Amino acid sequence: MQVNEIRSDTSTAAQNKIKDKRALPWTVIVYDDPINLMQYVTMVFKKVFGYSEEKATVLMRQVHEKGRSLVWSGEKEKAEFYVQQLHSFQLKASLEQES
Amino acid sequence: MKLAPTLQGGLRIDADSLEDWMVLEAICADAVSLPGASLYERLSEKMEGDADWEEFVAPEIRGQFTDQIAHVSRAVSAAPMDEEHAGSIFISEEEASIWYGAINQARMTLEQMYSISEVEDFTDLDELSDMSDERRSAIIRGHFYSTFQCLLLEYVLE
Repeated sequence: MQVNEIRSDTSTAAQNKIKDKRALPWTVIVYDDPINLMQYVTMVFKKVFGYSEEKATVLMRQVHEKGRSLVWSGEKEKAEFYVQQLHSFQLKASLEQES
Repeated sequence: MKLAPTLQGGLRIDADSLEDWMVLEAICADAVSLPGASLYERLSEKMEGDADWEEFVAPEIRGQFTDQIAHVSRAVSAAPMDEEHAGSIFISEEEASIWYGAINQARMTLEQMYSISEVEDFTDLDELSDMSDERRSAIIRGHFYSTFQCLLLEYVLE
């Protein structure tokens, strides 16, 4: 009985861990490249994410100066959609799950 | 060659010589010459291993990149010119992103083959005198392509 209770606790803890992992947001990351013009990258961020000029410019500068920038986080399906959009605008992008 | 915004919100290209037409034709010639991995593979290299992505997303984007080059190629080859090789191409607001994308692909090739970004701020052709004819030509084309893109951004896309 006691053993079963321990097993049950362990199983619940594992399930919670999986649930927690699934609940973690996904992030969209954009990487620097030598081709895309800074003004273009800013415009793409405004078009794809609906960001203001100021926010889009800050993110573009992060990409340019740090080599990459986390530009959005949230549900996986939406993150995939955004990465697809960024690729179609010829920006190098990927998605990662936050850890 | 002259590039100028139109009253309809697009951009017009006025070519005056055979050399101008050769430069415009070079956009597509450069765009299709990317050595090694395709543009899409480069953009999505961090997505490697995602089979669904490769099956459902990649073909659409690859097709889009191919269509951009085909569109510009058709526009250049179909443009009317007079006996002195003068002629114009009108880029509408709707076409601007297609042209921008094709030119971006051309610049990607030039960067890959000739590292044009290392010398993008040259102000005088004399600064390019100690390099091969091929690289000098690529850098000058790359400079023209960037200027073209800046005009599209400034007057049409934004």
